[in-house]
Amino acid sequence: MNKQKISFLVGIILLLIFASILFIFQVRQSEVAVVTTFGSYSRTIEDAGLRFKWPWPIQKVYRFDNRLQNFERKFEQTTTGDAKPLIIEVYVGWRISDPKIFLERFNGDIKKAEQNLESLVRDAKNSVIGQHPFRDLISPREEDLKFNDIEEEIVAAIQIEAKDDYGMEVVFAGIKQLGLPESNTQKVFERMRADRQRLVKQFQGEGESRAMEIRSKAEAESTRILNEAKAQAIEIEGKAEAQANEYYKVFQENPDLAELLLGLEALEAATKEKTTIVADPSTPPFNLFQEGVKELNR
Amino acid sequence: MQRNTQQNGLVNFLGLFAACLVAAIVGNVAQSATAAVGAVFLGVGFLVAAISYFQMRLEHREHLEQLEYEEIARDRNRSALFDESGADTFIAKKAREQFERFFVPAFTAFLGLGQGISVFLLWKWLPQAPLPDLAKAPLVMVTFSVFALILFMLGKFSARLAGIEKLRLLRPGGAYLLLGSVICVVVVVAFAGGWFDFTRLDFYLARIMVIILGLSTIENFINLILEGYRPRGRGKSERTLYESRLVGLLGQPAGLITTAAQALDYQFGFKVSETWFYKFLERALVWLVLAQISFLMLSTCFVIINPNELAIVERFGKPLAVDPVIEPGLHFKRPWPIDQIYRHPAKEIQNFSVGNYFDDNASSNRVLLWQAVQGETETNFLVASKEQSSTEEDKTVPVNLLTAAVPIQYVVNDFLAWSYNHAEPAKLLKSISNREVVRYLVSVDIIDFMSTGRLEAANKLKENIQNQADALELGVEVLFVGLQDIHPPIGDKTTPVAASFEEVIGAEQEMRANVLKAEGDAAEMVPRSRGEAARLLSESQGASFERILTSGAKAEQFRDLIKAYESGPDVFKQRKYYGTIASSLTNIRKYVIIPENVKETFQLNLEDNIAYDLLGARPEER
Repeated sequence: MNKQKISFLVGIILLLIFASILFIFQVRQSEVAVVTTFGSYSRTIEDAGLRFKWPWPIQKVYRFDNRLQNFERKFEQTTTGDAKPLIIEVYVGWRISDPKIFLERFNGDIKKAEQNLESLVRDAKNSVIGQHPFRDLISPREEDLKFNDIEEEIVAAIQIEAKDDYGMEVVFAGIKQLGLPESNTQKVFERMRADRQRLVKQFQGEGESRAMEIRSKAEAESTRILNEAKAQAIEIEGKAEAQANEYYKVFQENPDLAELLLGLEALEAATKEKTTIVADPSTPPFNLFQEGVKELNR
Repeated sequence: MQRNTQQNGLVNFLGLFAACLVAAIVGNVAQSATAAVGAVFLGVGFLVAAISYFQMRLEHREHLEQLEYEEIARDRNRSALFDESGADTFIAKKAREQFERFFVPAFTAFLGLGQGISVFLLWKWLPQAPLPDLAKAPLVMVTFSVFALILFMLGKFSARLAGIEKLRLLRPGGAYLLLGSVICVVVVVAFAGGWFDFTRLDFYLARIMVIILGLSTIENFINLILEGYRPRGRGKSERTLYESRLVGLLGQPAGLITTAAQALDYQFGFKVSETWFYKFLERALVWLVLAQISFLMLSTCFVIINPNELAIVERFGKPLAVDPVIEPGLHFKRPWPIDQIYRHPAKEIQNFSVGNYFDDNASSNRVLLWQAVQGETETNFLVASKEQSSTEEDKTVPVNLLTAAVPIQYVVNDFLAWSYNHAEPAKLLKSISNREVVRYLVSVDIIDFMSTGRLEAANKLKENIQNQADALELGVEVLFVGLQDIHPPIGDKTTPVAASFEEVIGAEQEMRANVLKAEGDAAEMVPRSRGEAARLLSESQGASFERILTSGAKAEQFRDLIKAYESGPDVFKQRKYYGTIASSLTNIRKYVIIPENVKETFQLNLEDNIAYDLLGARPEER
C-alpha cells in the first residue's frame, strides 16, 4: 500500500470519528437527555442508547442524572406547636420529573436546583413542625409519636410546587437529626444531673434506713436475750436464797450467838477498805491505852 | 538584511508581550486556567524574544565593527596602529563574546528557575482554580482566535526567516510565537468544551500545559549541563542556549521528526539521521503508531474484575440485556467506546457509623470511659423520658440526651439497583440509618435503652434500616448494626452528666455497703448478747451454788460454834470480838484519841493525802 493510500485511509477514519462525534451522542442508563435546536427545546430522551443529533451549533444536548438525588443541608432551629425550640435536619430524595422544565429553570445546574429546593424544604419543614407539639416528635408512648406523619406532611407541602415549577419530583423526606439549642441542652444536662442526684440521695437514705432497721432489730434481740438471762439469774438467785435460808434456820437455835457472829462478820466486811476509825478510848481494846496512860501518870 | 532582522526581533518580543498581557487579563476576567498558564508560557516567550533581540543588536554592532575594520584596512596601508590588533581593536566582538559566555547561561539558568517556580505554583493553584465563566466565552474565543492568527503569522514569518543560517536568533522567538498561537487555540477549545458541558476540560488542558512547562524547564537545565560537553565544529552555526526544542516542536508539530533529527545531529556532532536505524524508524513510524493505537484499542476488549468488585457492562450507555453484571475474573467485551465498564467494590463489606465516629484502629486508648470523649466530637441524640406526661406544664424540655455510636456494616446485594436507582446510594443509606436511630431513640426511655433494651434495640434498628433500604430499592443487605459507646453525655465542668450517672452507681454500692455493715453489726450483736446472757446465767448459778454451799457450811459451823459458845460464852465473845478487831483494823487508818481534858477539842483532817507517782499510780497501788 503506498503512502497516499494510507493517508487516504487514515483521513477517512479520522473523518468518520469526527463525524460520529458531531452527529451521534450517547445516553446512559442513569441519564436523561434534552436536545435543543438553536436553543429551543426539541425533545427529551429517557431511554439509554445511541442517538442522532445535528452538530453544534444547530443542536445541543443537555444530559441530567435521572437517578434519585439525596439532598440535605442545614441543621436548623425551629419551634414546635407548643413553642418548644428544636434543631432539626431533614434529608430529601428527589429526581428530575420534567427535564424540559428543569433545563429552563436551572439551566441544568443541579447545584442551583438544590439551592432553590432548599428554600422550599426549609419553609415546609418549619411550617409542618410548627403545627405539631413536641410530643409528636419525642415520646416514650408510641401512640403519641407522629414522626412518619410529619415526614409525609413535609413531602406533601413541597411536592406540587417542586414538580410544577422546578420539574423535580420529591419522593421522600426524612428527619435525619434532632437536637436542642445550646441553652436548652445545658438545662437538660442540669435536669439529668438533678435526677441522678435524687437517686444518689435516695440510695443513701435507703441504705441508712435499712442499716438502722437491721441494727435496731439486732439491739432489740440482744436486749431481749439479756433481759431473759437476767430474769433467769434472779430466779436462780432467789431459789438459792430460799435454799440458803433453810440452812440459816439453824441460827434460831442460839439467836445471841447468831447476832454476835453476824455483827462481827458485818464489822469485818464494813472495815475492809478505806476506813478511818476514830476510836473512843473507852472502846476495848483501845481502853488499854487509857489505862496505860493512867498508870504512867501515877 | 541585519536591519530587517532586528526589526523582526523587536516585533517578536513586542507581539509576545502584548499576547502575554492580553492572556493574563482575559484569563483573569473569564476565570480561564488555560489562559492563565498560557500567559506564563507567553511571558517566558517574551523574555526569550527580548534576549534574542538584544543578542541580535550585539551581533549587528560586531558586523558594523568588522565592516569598518575592513574598510580602513583597504584604504590605508598597514600601520603600527593596526599592527596592535589586540583586545582593544574589536570591542563589539568582545562584548558579544562576553555576553554569550556569561550572560546567556546565567539568563538560561534564571529562566529555568523562574519556569520551575511557575510550575510549582501553578500545580498547587490549579485544583482550586474556579471553573471558566462561560458567559464570557464569546469574548474569550474571539480575542484568542484573533491572537492565534496574529501570532501564527508572525511566528511563521520568523520561522521562515530563521531558515537562513545567519538569522538563527529569530528561531527562539518565532517558536514561542507559534506556540502562543497553539495556546490561543487551546484556550478556545477549553471554552468550547464548556459549551458542551465539559467545563473540566479547561482544568485538564491547563494541567497538560503545566506538565509541558515543567518538561521545558527540565530541557533548559539539561541544555545548560550538556552545553559544556557538546563538540564544537569550526564554522558551524551555534544553537542559542535558551532555545527550546520542545517549544519548537509544539509550535510546529509537523516538524517532529526533523526536530528530533536535528537535535540528535547537533548533540552528537555527526549525522545520526543518516543511520539505517533512524531511516527505518522514519519509514515505519506511521505503521508503528497505527499498531500501537490498534493495540490500545484491543486492550480495551479485556477487563479484569478484582475479587472484591462487581461491574456493569454498558453498550452505548445501556446495560447489556443478558448478564449486565459481571463477576470477578477475566471478561471480554467490545472495544471502547462501544462497551464501557462501571466497576464498584460491591462484594466488599462497607462500614460507616451513625453518631460518634470512633476508629478502633486509629486510637491508642485501650480503655474507653464515659467521661473521656471518644472520637473527634460527641454527638448527642434526643431520647424520650418516661416523666413526660407528668410534666405537661413544665417548660423544661422533657427529654434526655444520649451519646451513641452505631457502627453499621452492609454489602451490595443488587448491583444494578445500587448503580441506577440513586445518585449517591452510600450517602442515602447513611441518612436513612441516621433517621432510624433518631426515630428509635425518641420513643424509648434512656435507662431502658442503656440497660435491658439494648439487644432488642440493635435488632430492631437493623430490621428498620433494612426495611427502609428495601423500600427505597437501594440494593444493599445490612449485615450488622451495633450499639457502642452508649452513655449519657459528658456534660461540662459545672454539670458533669456522665459523672452523675456514675455517682448513682456509687451511691447504690454505698447503700449496699451500709446494709451489709449493719447486717454485720447485727450478726455480731445478737450472738454477743447470747454470750452475755449465758455469762449472766452462769455467774448467777455460780453465785447461787456458792450461797447455798456457804450457807450450808455456815449452818454447820454455827452448830459447832454453839457448842463452843455454850462452853464459855464470855470468853467466846471476847475472843471473837478481839479477833475481829485485830483482823479488821490491821490495814486501815486509825485514830485513837486519848483526851486528858474532856473539854479538849480535836480537829482531824480526814481527807486522803494521796501522792501520785510518776506513772500516776496511787501509793497503795504501787
